[in-house]
Amino acid sequence: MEAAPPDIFFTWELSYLQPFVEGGKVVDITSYLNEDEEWKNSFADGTLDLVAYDGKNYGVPTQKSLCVMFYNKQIFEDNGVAVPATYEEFLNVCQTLKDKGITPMAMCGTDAWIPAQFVQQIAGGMAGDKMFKDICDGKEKWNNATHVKAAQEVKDMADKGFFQDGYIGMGPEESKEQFFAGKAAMYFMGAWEAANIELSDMGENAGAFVLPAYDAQYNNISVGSIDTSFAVSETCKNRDAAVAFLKYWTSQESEDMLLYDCGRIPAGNYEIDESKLSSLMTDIITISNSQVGLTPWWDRQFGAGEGVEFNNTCVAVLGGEDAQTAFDALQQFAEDNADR
Amino acid sequence: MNKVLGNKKSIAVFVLPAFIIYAIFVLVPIGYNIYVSFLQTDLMSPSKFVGVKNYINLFKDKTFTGALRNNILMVIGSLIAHLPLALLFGNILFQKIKGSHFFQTVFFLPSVICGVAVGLTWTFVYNSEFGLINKFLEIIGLESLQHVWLADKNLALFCIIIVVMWQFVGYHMVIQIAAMKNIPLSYYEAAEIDGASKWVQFKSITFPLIKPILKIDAVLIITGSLKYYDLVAVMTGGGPNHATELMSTYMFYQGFRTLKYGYSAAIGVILLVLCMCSVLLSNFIFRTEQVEF
Repeated sequence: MEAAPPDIFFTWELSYLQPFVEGGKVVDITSYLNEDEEWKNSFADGTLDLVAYDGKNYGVPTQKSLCVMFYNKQIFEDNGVAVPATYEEFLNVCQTLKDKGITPMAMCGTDAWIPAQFVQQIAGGMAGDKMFKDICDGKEKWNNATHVKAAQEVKDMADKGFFQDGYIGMGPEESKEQFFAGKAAMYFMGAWEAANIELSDMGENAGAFVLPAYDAQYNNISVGSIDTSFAVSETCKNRDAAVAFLKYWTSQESEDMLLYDCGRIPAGNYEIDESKLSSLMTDIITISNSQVGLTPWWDRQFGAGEGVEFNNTCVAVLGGEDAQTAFDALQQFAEDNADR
Repeated sequence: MNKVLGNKKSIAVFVLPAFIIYAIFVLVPIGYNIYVSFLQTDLMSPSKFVGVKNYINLFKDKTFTGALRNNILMVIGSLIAHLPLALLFGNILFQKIKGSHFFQTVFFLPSVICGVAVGLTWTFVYNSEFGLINKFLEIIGLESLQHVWLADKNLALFCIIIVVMWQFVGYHMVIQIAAMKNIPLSYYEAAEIDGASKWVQFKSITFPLIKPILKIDAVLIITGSLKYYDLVAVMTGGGPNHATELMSTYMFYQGFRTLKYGYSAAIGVILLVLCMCSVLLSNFIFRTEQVEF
């Protein structure tokens, strides 16, 4: 009995789809994209590249995603703090709220990717996206000074009590609840969370801002990538129909529904009708458009190897391990892993 | 009957169906697994034959040696709870005290609850904010002993081992009580008349005569602990940062997450060898002459 994969399947980008491409399980759709210039140009710059391998296209994205700092407008107003424009201001906001007995930020400790994305964001604010690209090209090591400093920075925030008590043992649902129920003032997460936030008790009360960079010259470089991509499986018999469906799934009609109804950032560059956006989504779209660089999450770039181990390393540092030692171990792992 | 039992051909015919099923579902996959362990493959791209490289890499891999250490700790913990402790409870309940049937049932109950349900319940018990343990410590004024149990890299594994000890002590106790029931009461009566204390009765009558069962029980305990997966997967996922990683969870991670099936198969083979060694070890420790009674 032959295995029957679906004709079209959901995939993440970068290292996730790569083994399937190398194993010959995915249809090369470059020719379909080149034939239909209008379709090809409907994708925002750079989005198609994240699901392309060896110069050929294998998937299409439907969303863009990036990390933003959600915040509770009411808490900010009640305590006289404003959206921070610099990193120092951000730390002051946290300290002010802490002194008034309010949890500054909701953070999760059990799902390693959540604290890790925060470390990655801060690292990007310290060294820009050049460090990211250098690690991908093998020109920079995992245990570089920026990573150690960024992880230490987040640990310092935890020690100062900027996260809720017991965050290290809390799961994502529990920590989210801190923000949704209005107990924590801020919440760092992918912009996809916007729909859930609007549906919760927060409702209209939520806003979003981009975390100011540690070094102001690197402002607007965020952890972000594409999301919800689709690819066609090699066993698909009617490829034209599959591609036709992909065209519909990435059409303006579909992207509009994704944006206005579901609160997701479209990967297409169609016109946006600002009047249809909620205030939170307006914040998010503004942030998205002002980004000058996006670094995909490490566990999407490197997959379940160095990527997941980066996440684990960040959690280890938060758990008390010395940052340099932890990242040295990560570097060692990366070197061992190349051989396995 | 003797005609059938004596005729080797008829024996073979009756054993054959079970043996075929065993061969297809156990022996062939084990053979294939041993073969894959000598490859470097993601089972999609063409595979590469690498000989014993996977095994060499495994012994250099700190996460694997950590997982092996965790498994050994789990074996020790399980052996402590499931042999001597279960024997103790079993012996007490064997004395026909009031309510012994009730206690047998109650002790046995945790072992029939699905591992995932046990894991989720205990995750709530260990929760640092509203869990039973931290709340209890608060009530008796020992707040300084409060920890974030499952997120602490030094404590998480022991927390899980305690749950395993609790879950299966009744299971092994019931096996041992069943073994004790096979011993003719006349031995105990004779010992009573000779003035032997309960401890001497246990040491000289009960324990030696249930040794064959203890041997099998030890094999079950050791191989079960080496293969253990449920609670770790549900309660900590191997975290924080591989502190509670076991060989089985690491094998799952290397196979299905990183797609390094060769590496993962090598872990499987090592697990197989360790389980076989535990059978030999148990046979050696509990060796005894056959006793007919």
